[in-house]
Amino acid sequence: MTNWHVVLLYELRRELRRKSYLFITFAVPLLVIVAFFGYQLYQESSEGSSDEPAKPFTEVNESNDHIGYVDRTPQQLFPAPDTYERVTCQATNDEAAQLRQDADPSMVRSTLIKRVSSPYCLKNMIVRYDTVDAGKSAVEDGDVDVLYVIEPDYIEDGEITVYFEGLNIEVMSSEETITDYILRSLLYNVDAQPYEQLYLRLRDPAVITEHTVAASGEAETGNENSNLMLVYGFGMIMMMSLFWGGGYLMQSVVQEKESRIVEIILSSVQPTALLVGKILAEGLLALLQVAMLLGTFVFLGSQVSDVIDSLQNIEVGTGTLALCIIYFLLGFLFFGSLMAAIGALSTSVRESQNFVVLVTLPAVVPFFFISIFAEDPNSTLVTVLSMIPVTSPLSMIMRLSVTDVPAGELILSMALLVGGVMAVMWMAGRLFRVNTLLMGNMPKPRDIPRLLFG
Amino acid sequence: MSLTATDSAICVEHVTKNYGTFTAVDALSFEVYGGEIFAMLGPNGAGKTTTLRMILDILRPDTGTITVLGGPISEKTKDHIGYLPEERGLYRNAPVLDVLVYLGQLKGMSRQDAQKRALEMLEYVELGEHAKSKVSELSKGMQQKVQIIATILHRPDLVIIDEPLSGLDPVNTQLIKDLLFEMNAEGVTIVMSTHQMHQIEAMADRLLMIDHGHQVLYGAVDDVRQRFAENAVIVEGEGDWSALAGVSSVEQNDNGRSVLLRLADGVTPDMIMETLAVSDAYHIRRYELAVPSLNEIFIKVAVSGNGQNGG
Repeated sequence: MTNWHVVLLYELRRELRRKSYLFITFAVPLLVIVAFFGYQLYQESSEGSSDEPAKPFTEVNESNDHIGYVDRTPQQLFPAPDTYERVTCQATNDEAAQLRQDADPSMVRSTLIKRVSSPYCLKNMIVRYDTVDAGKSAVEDGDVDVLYVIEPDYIEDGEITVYFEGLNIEVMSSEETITDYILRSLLYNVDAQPYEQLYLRLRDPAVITEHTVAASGEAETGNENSNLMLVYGFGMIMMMSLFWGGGYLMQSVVQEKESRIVEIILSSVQPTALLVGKILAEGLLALLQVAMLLGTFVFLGSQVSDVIDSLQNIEVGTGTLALCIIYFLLGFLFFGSLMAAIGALSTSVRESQNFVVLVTLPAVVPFFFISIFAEDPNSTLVTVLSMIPVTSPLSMIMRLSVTDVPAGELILSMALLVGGVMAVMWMAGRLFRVNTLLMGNMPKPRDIPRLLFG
Repeated sequence: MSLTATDSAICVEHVTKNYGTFTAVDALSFEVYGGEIFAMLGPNGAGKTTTLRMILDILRPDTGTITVLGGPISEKTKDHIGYLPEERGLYRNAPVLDVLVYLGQLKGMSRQDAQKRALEMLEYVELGEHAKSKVSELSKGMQQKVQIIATILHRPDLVIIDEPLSGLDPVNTQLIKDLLFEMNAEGVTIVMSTHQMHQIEAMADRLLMIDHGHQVLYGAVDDVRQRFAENAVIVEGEGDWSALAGVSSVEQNDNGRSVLLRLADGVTPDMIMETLAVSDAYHIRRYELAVPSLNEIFIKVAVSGNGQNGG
């Protein structure tokens, strides 16, 4: 099989000059990054100078929320913010440094936390109304965005009712603020040290770590959210490169037919070598595209603290990563060959688009069961899906990202996939040789066996 | 790998190719000698293109053997062949030079060599300034020139062209004829396949005529035409042709300027010319043997179904 590398290099050069490829691969990530930082700059400028002293442990809510509330509890548990003892809500630079040393609890720090998280500090955002009607009028007049009514049975069942006008995006952020205010008010009379512990704990009352019992009897520690994120992430990479790379590949095959250069090429290079060169080139290009986009999102994610917190729980071993890459490459060869075969059978790019779903639909089947992959990655369904060559690339990548797969299953699955890759490559090669040249029209399904074996 | 006339450039032996129940090529045998111009003739659907594709290993024969440049075709052999199919095109959105370099590299040339030679040849066909243009920006005639360059860029020993002159404008028709003669003079073997027989009958040394996948005529072009020549002459001039001794019948040709004189048994064209030379009753502007065109021969053979094979 000679000349596949010539095909590979030519396809790479050709594709890397295509404007649409360059746009998606390089311009889109750049635009996203520019838009992200542009938005951040806008946010900062609208919030004032960024040279202000560091904000004490993000407790002082600087949002533009205007929240009204009505306290209907018999005990009147929630006085208006401005009725609390007046304190300095802003921490000085020294105090801010003290606040950040969360590993070093001290009386000074506890007192400080209690001071800056006093209900008084929310006085600019939260307004108390004596009656529900007065509160509702304030919402109607636009004085406040939302109105929370703390119902009389609050202590027993925690019931709070919210009123707002039409579709109001402020409701979502205001919920956090009112919860915070309730917490601060309820803890107001607690001494500084228990206050610090309780306040910080109750703001994040449960950090759940799952322990599932594996077949070996050993407990495996994992976090369901990060599992799901991993499964989803790896799955998405596979899918995106499959759709993009496969699409480019099919297009490149059909274009050679449409431009009628294919017979000249086939007089110099074997169909299999042409296929291999094309598949590898388009695979690499798709990988570059996915890496660029993924890199952009990871980079932007690292700029947002919430996301990085979730990502910190994720650990992928080198062995797993190597296996994922092998499955990715085999998967691309498998689906790429199928896409190329569709290209070989079609007479135009438009015609080929109609048949893409025949390849992509079976490929995305594992996505339908994504929750099972995250919760029970060694179940029978998942095991079967990770054996069938059509579904195994995506299934195994998703499965490997969350659990260890027994070596026997890995070997069997990989052997089946390698067999599948060889079969589809042979098939695509046959269709290239015979069909591209002899058929002016798309063959009927009953003709295909004859084209393959004839 | 320059071949001499005693070498076999292509040897096809008892080759058959079926598509389902349809037999495209049926037990075909022929040989192409090194350094000759060989024409494969026949109407559309005769099996010419299928035969060429089998020679080039694009299709595999069902039975029979084919040797090319002294052995079974291999990837190495392909590097010595230039092929221009009937259905020919180029990458439309790629620069001309890039396409030529790619096709040259596929034929085993280094990138530098392919680039240098492509630029030389583009200059030769007066397309030097279009080297960086996209193929789609060229006129159809220009694209044809580029296709021809792609076929011979790698200095092949054997050039195979399917319908060499189809779709070519007069300028490019002359260009390709000149190029083919030039290469042939340098020892390159040339195989052409066409259904437009009149276009290449003056170019080819030998021919193979096929119909429905069968060989109907095979041999030197002159031999074939002489074999089918009638005892008749074509004359252009004035005089009473029917009164001429030895002429059995007179036919006016289609253009009205010349007449076909069929001669009686035992009368030769030389005898008639002698008579005309001494007679004042006739003025002659043109006098030639009535040798049939390949087209006429083919129609005769195909209709009667009595193909004759020769050397």
